[in-house]
Amino acid sequence: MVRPLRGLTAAILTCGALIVYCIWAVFPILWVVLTSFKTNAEALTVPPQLLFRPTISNYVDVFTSVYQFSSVVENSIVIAAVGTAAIVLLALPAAYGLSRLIPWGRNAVSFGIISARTFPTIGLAIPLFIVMQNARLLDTRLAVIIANVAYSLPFGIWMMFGFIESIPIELEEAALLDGCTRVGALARVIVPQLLPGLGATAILTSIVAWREYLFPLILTTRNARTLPVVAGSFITDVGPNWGGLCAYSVLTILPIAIFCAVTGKILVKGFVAGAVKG
Amino acid sequence: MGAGAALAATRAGRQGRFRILRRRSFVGFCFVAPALITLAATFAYPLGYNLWLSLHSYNLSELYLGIHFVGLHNYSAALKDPYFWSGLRNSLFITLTSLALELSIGMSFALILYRQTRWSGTFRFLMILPLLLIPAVSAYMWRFMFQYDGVINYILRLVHVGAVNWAKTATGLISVIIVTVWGNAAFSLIIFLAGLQAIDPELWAAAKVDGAGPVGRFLHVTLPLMRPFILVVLAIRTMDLLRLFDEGYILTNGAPARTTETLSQLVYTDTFTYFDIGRGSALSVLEGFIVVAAVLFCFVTLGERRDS
Repeated sequence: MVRPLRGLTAAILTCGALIVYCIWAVFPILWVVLTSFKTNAEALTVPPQLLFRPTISNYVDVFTSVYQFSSVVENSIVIAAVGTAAIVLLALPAAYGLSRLIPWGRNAVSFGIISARTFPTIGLAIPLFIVMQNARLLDTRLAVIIANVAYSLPFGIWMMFGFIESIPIELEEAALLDGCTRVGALARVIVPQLLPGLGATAILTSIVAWREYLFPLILTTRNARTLPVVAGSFITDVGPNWGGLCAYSVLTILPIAIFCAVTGKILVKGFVAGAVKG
Repeated sequence: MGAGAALAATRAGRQGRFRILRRRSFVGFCFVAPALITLAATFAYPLGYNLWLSLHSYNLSELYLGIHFVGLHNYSAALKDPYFWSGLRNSLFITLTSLALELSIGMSFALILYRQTRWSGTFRFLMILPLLLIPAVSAYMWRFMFQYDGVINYILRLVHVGAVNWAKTATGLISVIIVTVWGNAAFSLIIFLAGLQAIDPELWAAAKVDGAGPVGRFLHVTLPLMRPFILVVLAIRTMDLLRLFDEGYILTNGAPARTTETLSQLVYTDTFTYFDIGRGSALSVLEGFIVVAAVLFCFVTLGERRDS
């Protein structure tokens, strides 16, 4: 083993470190959950009250007031889903072609991912803002979807490329010998093998879109705003609505928690595979 | 490790494969074309347009002046701008501090969790939780906690540190670092944990037989084998941290008086507050060069020589 800390003290030390770190990681979330049940006036009282009369008025607020929670959620979901579908549909054949048919494919993928990932998002957002303004697409879902696809497609190709490279070529050669066409081989041999990789890529790109802040901040004003951007509307000219903000945060955490509980294993695997290959 | 053999096999396979499929490049291009066209339209064209904008005087609040070609004027003006240098300093400070904290936290807890068996699943889940939140939302959560009457100052008073005014320049930057590390340390943890699991435990046993102590084993066995994983984390996090926007914009918004702005915030302020598109584009191109230089530096200092 790496550090053979033996004996009781060692066990207590590592356990203590783990517990301290977990408290540090989880405490802010717990605090926000707690505050979401307080009134706005109670949110910042000193000393903070642990015992109080819980209220769900903040949650009612989020759903009923100007924040239009349901339409914002719809925006976020549609933007993430359509963008992900586009990325998967474009990246699958591209990664296949680069891996199997183009000799310099590997170099192209490495170069592409590095140049795409290093360029600052804001440098893409400025020209896109002008383009969208001229095309009268500002404040539409399409504008945000286009920005997300531009930003995540190289990543999608790179991940998919890694997964295709790990599928043995012999399977496909057998299919080709048996008279399968290229597209047929892709559909019948590669895709079934690729399903976990496909899933991981789709999950990661939709998470990237779900978390994206800068593009919707710049490209939307009202109708197409997404969850991260609308969080800012709880801090208003007449003062912040902390209780509402906390309830809103909890509502954005919940779907992610459920999503990750369901897809956890694939997620971590895809994450690691994507990061390490290529 | 079987990775070397597998790699050699792949390479041999690749060569053979391409001898057979040499004439298939055109077909391959057809497969790649849709993605390539999309990227040309949504990525390459905007970037080229960005370069074009950076060479022009273009201000949305002074459109009556029109758009003029000004050569490198935007760049020289940006380099003379004290805000650029303070933004660069802030970005470097945030990047270096957060990198050091994230990587050391990630590595330490990866080593601990790798050993632990019984509860490590639960611990790992709790540690990864912050990574899963929307960064902008968690920044707003922390902004609430960083209020002068907020829970962080309350805890600091309890432990007799006293309340801190988080709205100053230094404390503002520190608050950004705290939130960034809180949210992203688990990324290093996951990758390092995967790296450790890929190491053959017999290597440690062999080193132990050879008389290496725990520190020696870590330095001479674990670290060299973990180098690709460390490089990946370092490169990805350096890029993300150098162009950090969300946390800085939400927590401090540059306050007080634009002294805590990061590079990306600087670009944002010039472009979308002062509507100076030309200047903003030039700054974003400069930022791009800085990120590329930093990543190249990571690869040159830590990367392995590729033999292919």
